[in-house]
Amino acid sequence: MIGEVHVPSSAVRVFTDPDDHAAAIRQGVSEMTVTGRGVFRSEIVRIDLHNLWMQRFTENVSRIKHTIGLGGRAVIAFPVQPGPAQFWQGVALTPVNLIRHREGANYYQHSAGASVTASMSLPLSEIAAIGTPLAGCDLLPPRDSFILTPPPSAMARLQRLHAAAGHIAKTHPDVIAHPASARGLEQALIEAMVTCLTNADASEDRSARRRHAVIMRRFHRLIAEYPDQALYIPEICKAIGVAERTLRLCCQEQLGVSPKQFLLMRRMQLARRDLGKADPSNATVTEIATCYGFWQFGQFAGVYKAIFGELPSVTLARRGE
Amino acid sequence: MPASTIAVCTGASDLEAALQNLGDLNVIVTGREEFRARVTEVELQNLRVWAVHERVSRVGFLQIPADIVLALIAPGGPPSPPIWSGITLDKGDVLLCGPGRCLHMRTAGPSHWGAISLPAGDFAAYFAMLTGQVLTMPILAQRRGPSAANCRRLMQLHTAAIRAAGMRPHTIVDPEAAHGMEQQLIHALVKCLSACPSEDAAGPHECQDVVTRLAQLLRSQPERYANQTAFCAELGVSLGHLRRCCKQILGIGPASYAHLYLADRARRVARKRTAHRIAL
Repeated sequence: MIGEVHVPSSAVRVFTDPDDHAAAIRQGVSEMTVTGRGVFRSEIVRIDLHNLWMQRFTENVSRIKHTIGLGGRAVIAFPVQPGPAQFWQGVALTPVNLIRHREGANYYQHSAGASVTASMSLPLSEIAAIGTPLAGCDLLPPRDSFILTPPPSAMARLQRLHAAAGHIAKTHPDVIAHPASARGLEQALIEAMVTCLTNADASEDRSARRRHAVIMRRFHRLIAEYPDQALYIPEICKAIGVAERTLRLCCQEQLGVSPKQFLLMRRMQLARRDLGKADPSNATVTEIATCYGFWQFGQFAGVYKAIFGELPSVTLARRGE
Repeated sequence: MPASTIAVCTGASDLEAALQNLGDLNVIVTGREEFRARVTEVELQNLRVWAVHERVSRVGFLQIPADIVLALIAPGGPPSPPIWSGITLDKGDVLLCGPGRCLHMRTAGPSHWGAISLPAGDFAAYFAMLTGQVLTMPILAQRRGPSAANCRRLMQLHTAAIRAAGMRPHTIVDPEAAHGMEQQLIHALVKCLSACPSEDAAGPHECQDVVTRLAQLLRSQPERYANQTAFCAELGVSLGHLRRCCKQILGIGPASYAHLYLADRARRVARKRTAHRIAL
């Protein structure tokens, strides 16, 4: 066998906190901002075969995810089922597409509603070794991430196998843990993945989208620099050196929402996180809301309830219970 | 440090003191009713916000500080806002005044108006960053007719900030809440001013200049100008022109203005003497 051998395993985890969900995503550092209304609920199915790692993400509301890949692995990702639109760097994706990530990819993806997405990755050494024998070409990660549209039959096979693996992980995890069956599954998946990568049409890489991606990276860097602080459009435009109109264009394209909406959602989420952790005998909704720059409290409570389905006081009181 | 103050003024000098951060203001009461005004001021990190409710008609001369940009707003509803240098503001209008500018203001009775100030450099920087355009700092006050949506947002935020100062002053003091308020106000102000065509409100520029010089003459050597002829000689304008300008800018003639100014000055001196005697 080529490469380091790992013991096969699988895990199914359910989350009600977007931050916990984001922390559980492998192969990168991720952050999630929920944009849909209602109580967040998600599931991550993780399957580790000998060399191949897989994940399936199920989320019940629309969201924005930002990921910085860790490198060291060749990663692909794809939407699993038709439904509310999904976007990667502002480009719409369907289950016939897959994304081939560059190493250490830094990107935004967003969904317009409930979504199921999948990812797979192999160590660089492994993908380099199988490229020529299997595909007759180099399959190392590209210099820039891009979207592929594999032949329908190849993509359908990959989707079926990935879904089957996810189902087995939930219903018969002992099958995944068995080295022989894990190897069989892994080989089938690798073959399906390579078939998709070598016979696909690549999407056109537009320079405008690249420029927007650069702006969004600066945007994200600023947000990452102040993870627990409220940020506003005037100071963001000042810090990253773009006019509001340009920032709005980039955010609409890559996040699916305006920067104002995104920043509001972020502040709301930070407030909700703190409300959920605070001791109601010591803290008040007003104190926590003002920490994130909210000063119109009636409006804060109204918007909070519209987004999360409950008043902020209920979130705070729940911790006490 | 963010803060808010509410001042109830029972005299012209009280109002001048309460608005000292707005600029150098000189107020002359023209009405006979008992003077009453309420000034709410919110001081944020760089931005200041005011709301003023006045009961009595008066004229005033305002010198804006050399490093400040001032946006005068008409929040709407009765009572009407003042007339600024002959310019009537409609509900939702914003009058942008450049650094160091002089304005006259007059009211014909109860009035309600608002203001937002920001250091000129900061305002220009935010305008450029947010719009991608260079702001031509108004030489004289420029009137803007903001679009309904942009105007409403600015007026809403202004009203909310003033209300917060009155009902929840501890909110203003909180650094994060104050920062949020300031950023939202700056954003709304820039959007309001950039979204709509500007109108140079320096129309009565020449009259404004004449009346400004008249006010300066009265302040410097009031006893010297016992009659209108003396003013005209010093200002280099005809009596007819001087009267027209005063009517347009102040709403009253030069003789009435001088009379009221001198009477007001005498009252202030007398009040000071009384206060000094009481202190002793």
